[in-house]
Amino acid sequence: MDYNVCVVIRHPPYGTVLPAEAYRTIQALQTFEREVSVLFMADGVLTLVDTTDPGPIGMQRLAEAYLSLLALPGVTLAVHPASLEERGFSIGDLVAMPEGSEYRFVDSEEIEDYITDHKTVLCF
Amino acid sequence: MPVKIGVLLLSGPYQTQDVDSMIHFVEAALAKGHEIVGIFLYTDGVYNLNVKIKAPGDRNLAEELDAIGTGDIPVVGCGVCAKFRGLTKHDTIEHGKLGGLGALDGYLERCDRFITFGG
Repeated sequence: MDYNVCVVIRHPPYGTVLPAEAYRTIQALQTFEREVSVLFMADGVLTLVDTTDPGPIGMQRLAEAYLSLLALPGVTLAVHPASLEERGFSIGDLVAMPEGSEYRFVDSEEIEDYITDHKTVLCF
Repeated sequence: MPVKIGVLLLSGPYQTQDVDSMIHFVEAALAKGHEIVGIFLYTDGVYNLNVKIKAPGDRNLAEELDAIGTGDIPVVGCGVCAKFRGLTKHDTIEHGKLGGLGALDGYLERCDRFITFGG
């Protein structure tokens, strides 16, 4: 893996195409065997809330798509817990990880170092 | 010290200031001696490649982007995004083209810094 990239998802999952396009970008980067950290923050955390159900609007759940990225090496899913709490959720509301995987929780004090620890940052 | 910069644009023209900001950023970076390794146009950003854009009495963002492309800076729009938006390779400015996410990966690999506009 020649470089690592932090993909920051800060928009809600279904109001725009951005979180879905971020997913497609990460898939492509996985093809090139890049190390990708996906950081969900602000409204982006709603992507992983377990009770989110876009069925009535004819959309597929993005949470499963993101979890499926963990089947290949090089992807980490990170969550900013304060963003969850600001929206009335907690880490217990997140969709369950597959066995053997776990979320990386990044608190507000750590988030700057976490992002700058990557060679590049992509914001969606 | 010159740095290599990659650029991602997520916004279409004339809706927000994102495209203008991107163009001004690129021009300023080049004026300072930095290198732009490439500009990748994603989602609605691909609309900026549309050669049919007319902007009577105003700046033509597609032409400004085309001018940037004449300086050996790759300007690549996501081909899938273009297809979803009815844009074909025949609709693009002379110095812009449609391509895959591999181009974005290349910019990420070669750059020292990467910046996103829009979204």
